[in-house]
Amino acid sequence: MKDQPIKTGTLSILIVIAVISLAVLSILAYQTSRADYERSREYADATTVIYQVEAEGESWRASVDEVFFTQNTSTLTDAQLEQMLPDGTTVEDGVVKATFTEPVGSADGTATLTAELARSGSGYEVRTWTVERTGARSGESTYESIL
Amino acid sequence: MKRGISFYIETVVLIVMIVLASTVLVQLFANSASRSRSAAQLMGATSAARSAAEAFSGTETDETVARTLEGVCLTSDDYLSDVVVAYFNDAGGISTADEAALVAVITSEDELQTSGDLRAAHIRIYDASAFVGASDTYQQVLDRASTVSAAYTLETRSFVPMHRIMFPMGPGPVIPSAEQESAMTDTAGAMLQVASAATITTQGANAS
Amino acid sequence: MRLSDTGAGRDTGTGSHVAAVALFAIVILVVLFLVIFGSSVYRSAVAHSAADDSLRATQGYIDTHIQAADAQDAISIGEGPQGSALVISEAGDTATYEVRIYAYEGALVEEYARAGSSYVLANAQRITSCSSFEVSWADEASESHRLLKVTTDAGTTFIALRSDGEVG
Repeated sequence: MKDQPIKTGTLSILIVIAVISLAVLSILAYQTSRADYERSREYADATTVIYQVEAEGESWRASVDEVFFTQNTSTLTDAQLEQMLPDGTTVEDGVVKATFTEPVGSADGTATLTAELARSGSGYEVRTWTVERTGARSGESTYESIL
Repeated sequence: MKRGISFYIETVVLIVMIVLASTVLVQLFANSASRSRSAAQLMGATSAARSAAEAFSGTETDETVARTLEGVCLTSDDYLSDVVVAYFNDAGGISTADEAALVAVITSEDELQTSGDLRAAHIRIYDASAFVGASDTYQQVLDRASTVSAAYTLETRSFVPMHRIMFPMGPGPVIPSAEQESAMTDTAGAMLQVASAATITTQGANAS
Repeated sequence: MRLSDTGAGRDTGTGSHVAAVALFAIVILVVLFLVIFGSSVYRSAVAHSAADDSLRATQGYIDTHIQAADAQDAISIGEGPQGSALVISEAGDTATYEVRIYAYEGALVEEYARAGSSYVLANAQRITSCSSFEVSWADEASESHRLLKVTTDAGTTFIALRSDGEVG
């Protein structure tokens, strides 16, 4: 003991405790930032899909509008009109309806656009244009998203 | 002496372990800081892109998109193309160019049809620091956009029916009133007369 | 006589003592630096995470609600207790009901009530922290309002309504 220049036992223990605490802190920081990034990534991916669905709906609306603009649809029955519109479009009780669905993430989440156009004379009104998210959230994150 | 040597050996081992642990910890902390910054930027970029896409869907032309977002609309030299540059803060809210954390570059394409215009927007969000000093001309903006990687990109479409192309800001009847129709007919007729006169003059000049 | 009693032994002992103290001081400084750096990084990560969650809760909530309720005459602007309110109407079996979203006492709140009834703050549910919330029409001059302008703590954003009463 006389050959030992300073008492290092206590210091070493303190240093080891400090390093262990730092390791815990680093894991906490890493997990926090990783979870934040995952939530941001999923919000971004969901946004991309929602606007993809919107784009499909707008393309559909352009096709429908072309039919209404170039034809005198006021004399057509719902069934006759449905024949002239893009595939997947239904016309019932004067309402032209279509839905567009895209998957969100890798689980069973979906984003669905439901468009309803109400016939009005030889034209139409956009009655509803709703986008809804359904199904479970995706990805490795276990955090819920507000989207 | 033996105890002295063993003390030094233990000290060296301790130091080596401290150095190794420090290296790992510093890397973990640096990684956390970087990832945290990326998450915040992605979140802000997504919010900015959504706002830009909504402004695109709610307006009819690139000029009105720029006006809505309080940005600028730059036109190409041949006047055939536009690019909208808008500025956002780090949370995706509208900002001025000086205080911007994010820059949106919005290009659009028109697919004209008889009943209207199906517009497609390509929205790219960049870090403002990477986009400084490049915004004077249309070509400068596109050149810089092609060299810098975007924080987030978004594609969307918007259909602008004919009546909104003709009367973009409203108010006004969707179906032109008798006066408007008459005015449009008069204007069209006047334009036709001018065109006819120009044709006759040209033919006369060619004949002589 | 022991070797340690000689001057040479004592000098060696002093030198090694200084070296050991210096080494431990360096180690302690490194650990101290790591503590300061690490706590700063953790604080920043937590702050960013909280800010991002708040942004998602505010803007994502409003965007999602409006997108899910975009129908003719369903979205309007009302007057909340501390500024404007976003009003989303839905027709029930016997009456029309409204979801009113507004800021109250530093929070974004949501109130579900019968259309036309007065605001009952006690019934409002807290969504997230939000010191300011203003909503207006970006296209004020137009009769057919299609673009909402929403201003919160994060700044001003826009939401377009695709449904309208115009005849296409």
